[in-house]
Amino acid sequence: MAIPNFLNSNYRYLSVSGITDVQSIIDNLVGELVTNGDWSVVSGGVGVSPTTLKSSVRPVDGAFIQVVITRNSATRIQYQAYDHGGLLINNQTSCQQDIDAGGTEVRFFTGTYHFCVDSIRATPECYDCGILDRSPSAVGVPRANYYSSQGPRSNTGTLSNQAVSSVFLLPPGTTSYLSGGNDGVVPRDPLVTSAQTSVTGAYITFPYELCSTIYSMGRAYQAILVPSSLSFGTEITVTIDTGVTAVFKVVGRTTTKDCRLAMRKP
Amino acid sequence: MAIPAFLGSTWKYSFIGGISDVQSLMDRFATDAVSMGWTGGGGGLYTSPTDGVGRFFSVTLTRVTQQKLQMDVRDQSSVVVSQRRINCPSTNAWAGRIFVGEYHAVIDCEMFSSAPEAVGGGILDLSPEAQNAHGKYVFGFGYRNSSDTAASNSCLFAAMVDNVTATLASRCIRYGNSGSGSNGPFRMTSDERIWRPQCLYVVPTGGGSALYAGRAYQCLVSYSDMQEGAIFTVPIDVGTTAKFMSILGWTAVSSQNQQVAFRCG
Repeated sequence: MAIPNFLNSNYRYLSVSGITDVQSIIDNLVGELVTNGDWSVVSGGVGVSPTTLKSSVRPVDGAFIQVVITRNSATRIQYQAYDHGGLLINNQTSCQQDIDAGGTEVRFFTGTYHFCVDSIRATPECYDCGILDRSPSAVGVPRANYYSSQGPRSNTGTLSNQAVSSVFLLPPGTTSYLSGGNDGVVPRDPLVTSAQTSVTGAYITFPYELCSTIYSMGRAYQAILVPSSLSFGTEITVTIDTGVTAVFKVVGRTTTKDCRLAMRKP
Repeated sequence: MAIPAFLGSTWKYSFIGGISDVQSLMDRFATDAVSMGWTGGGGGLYTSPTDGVGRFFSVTLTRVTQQKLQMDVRDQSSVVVSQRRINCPSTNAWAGRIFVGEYHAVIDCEMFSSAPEAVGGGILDLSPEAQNAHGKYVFGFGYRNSSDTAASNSCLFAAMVDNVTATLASRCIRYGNSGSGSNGPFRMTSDERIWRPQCLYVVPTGGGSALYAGRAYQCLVSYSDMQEGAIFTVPIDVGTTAKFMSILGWTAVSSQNQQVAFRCG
């Protein structure tokens, strides 16, 4: 066997407690993605808002994702993700995310093709985006696929569309990214809930594969779907290859069809 | 990489044309099954070879009439899991497709003057759990019930022993989107076809989530635009391909865009 492609990219994890100003989120993203990763700063940087970060270019097809991160206030941050063609992925102007004025733990899941920022409030607020893995299909044919979560907050700051299935995708044959509840692939059991466990009680996990109608857009890197019986922050060890396991941590995207999202961590 | 377990078992495919009696299907099945290590017990009973962890199942084929074939699938405890039939039309010259291996047995008949019908059954691949992790691994399916009524024959339906009683139910995986549950994604944006395992679930009596039981061996599902008998080449490992033949006797599901195919090459 071999490690699946979507689990074979670079990844990092960082947890920072007591963040009282979202500038710290920007600064830590620079640290994780740029200083300790293979992204680059297009503009801004530590202590600066807005800051624009760009992923490394995927060699096979020239795909990259670029994210503009802005401090709207001490407790509110916004993300604008763009694909290699300059199209706004989260095509609702921006996605916003809050922290608590009194301080919030924030978890960063980052890597060559993805990042996820999980604000651990009483109701967690999670933003994630990235390039999608379409192997074994040729990744650049007809074009690279990208996604962004629709939440945790709209461009007006409303807490909404946090579900695992609420993502922005570029439907085939279109020129603008769209969102909606039909964009998540959830292999479902006959009762039309997710497949939670096997007969033995073992958890069932699946790639975080996204779709637009009958088209699979690909799998998010270093992300899996896990049963919703796992609470936010739970860590689960999953076998990803013969003799190889990986640890995933449940993030604050809300449940879709009994599934939650978990991101890879060391 | 490596060939997935559910695609790494033994298999044999046969085609016979110009059939006018279901006995021809039975005779060919007997030949193929024995060549795959099955044993004949007389009276139409055939038992699969016992695998390394003691798993096996059996089928009994009955010539109800010249035009009616019944397959009884039994699990390792000799519990009848399914009892299903195909009915062939009085217009003869049907075509039969036999798919058999150590873990599966399928007879599909193309009628030409009416829709294809199939009966079959098998053992499920439980990996990555141990193959003897649980005992709910035998399933059966078929176009008609033992009263010759065509019902519950889509590729979402199969029979298994959920608790102590065998039940034919909608227990196969649905690859639908998270919104409507329909529109199974079986195309890449490059328009390549996607193939996915046919997974089955045990449905507990009294409700609750269905429990994942395993994958059918040498069986895949894909977009429901495949013709009866169409052959597709599918990569199953780095540098390795296999051929799968779509059958309509375990019928397609238009709402899910799902249809099954069995290994033929």
